[in-house]
Amino acid sequence: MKYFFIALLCTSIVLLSHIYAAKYKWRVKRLESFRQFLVFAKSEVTYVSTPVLEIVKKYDKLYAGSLPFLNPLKEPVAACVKENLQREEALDTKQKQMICDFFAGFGTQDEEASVRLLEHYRAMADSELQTAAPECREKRKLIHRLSLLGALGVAILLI
Amino acid sequence: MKVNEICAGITALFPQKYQAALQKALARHEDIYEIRVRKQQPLVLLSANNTYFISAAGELVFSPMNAAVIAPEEIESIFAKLCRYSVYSFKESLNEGYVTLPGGARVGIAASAVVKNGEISAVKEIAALNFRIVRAVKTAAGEVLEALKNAHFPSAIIIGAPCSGKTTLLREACRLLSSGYSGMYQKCTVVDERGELAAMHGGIAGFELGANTDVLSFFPKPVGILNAVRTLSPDWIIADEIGSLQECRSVLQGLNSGVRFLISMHAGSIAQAKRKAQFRLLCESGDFGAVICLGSGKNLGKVEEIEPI
Repeated sequence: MKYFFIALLCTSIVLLSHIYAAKYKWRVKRLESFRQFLVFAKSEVTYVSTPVLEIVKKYDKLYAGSLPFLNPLKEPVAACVKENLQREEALDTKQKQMICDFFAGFGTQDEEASVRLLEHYRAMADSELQTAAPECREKRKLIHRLSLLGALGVAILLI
Repeated sequence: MKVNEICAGITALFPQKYQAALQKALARHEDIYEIRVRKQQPLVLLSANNTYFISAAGELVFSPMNAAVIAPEEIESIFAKLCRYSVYSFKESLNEGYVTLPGGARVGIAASAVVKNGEISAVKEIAALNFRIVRAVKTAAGEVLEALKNAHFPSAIIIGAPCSGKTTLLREACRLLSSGYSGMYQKCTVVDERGELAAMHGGIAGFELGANTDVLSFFPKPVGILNAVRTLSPDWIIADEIGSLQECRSVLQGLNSGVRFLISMHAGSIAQAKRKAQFRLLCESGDFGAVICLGSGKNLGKVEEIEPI
């Protein structure tokens, strides 16, 4: 019985750390999805002049769930995104600020300026991804290793 | 879209403090046809017989003396909501001085133009907005079509001053023609450059235009008319505010292709219209059978005169 509970405890430690580490996996996915959204928005603005809310709805329909902070939304989109990002756990403060700043400016200018804005933020998203991807990978490895060591330590102590 | 939905849509664009007063005014005074918003000026509501202002207490008053004044940030907020926070989406119509709301209400915009190479590239510093309330009148076109019936429904020109009901009449005439008024369900094509005639949304017309009507939305009239003639085989083409010579020439091309036209032009009277080169060009084609003049002010939407061409 004692070994059963020790095994259960160790498994719980590893699982909890796995859930915690998933945040870093999702951070990279969110950034990749945000970049994809910027590319999608550029073609919508350039070829069809779709309003901001419609672009977001179209994207959400095509790639449901890839950017949870885009749902639910109503006009003004910028204010809604800012509110939804407060519930977003995968992204860090700097990345959330970048997304808020983007939506604050998107739609306030003509087509040419809007396309430049999209390109500028796409470059920023690329830069964030270049930093975040290896960083997140390392952090996940560290968390997994620490969790295994921790579970082992707990097992040794209890046995 | 019903009138009260259009009014609700317009009211929702305004800051909270004006919404209750506007809702009450539009519900109580069904003859209000314009709401004018100007920076640092009182909010003005125009009806056929009166001019109203909104006081600071949210009451409708007849004098601007104690009226609430629109702040610059308020007009900017209304403008941003009007453009659905997507200015780039409305670039073409903004450069022409208007935005069309869902439901077909047109909002005229007074602003400063940014001119590049002789063309308007953008507008800035919004100074005023003019909201036109669209009210569909079912009986406006019956009299006109009855008058055209004797001449076997020739093409006709509707003339009138701004806000005389030309668009309303064209819309209703299209509905009647498309619904079998002339004994046949006429194939009608509406070339709706400003989105007011049909108020298309998601491919569905916001107004009743009849069972046999196609709509070309936001096409420039010369392009829309030629596209309609080539691809939609219309019996009738309905177009609003024919003004330029290019538009007149495209109408003539359509007439020469055997299509009948029901069009409108700006002019205060038939005598005034005859002084316009575009009007004379159309009359000389020999294909227009009548010109119908609409009244304004107290005679808003009423037929003042019908003259055969």
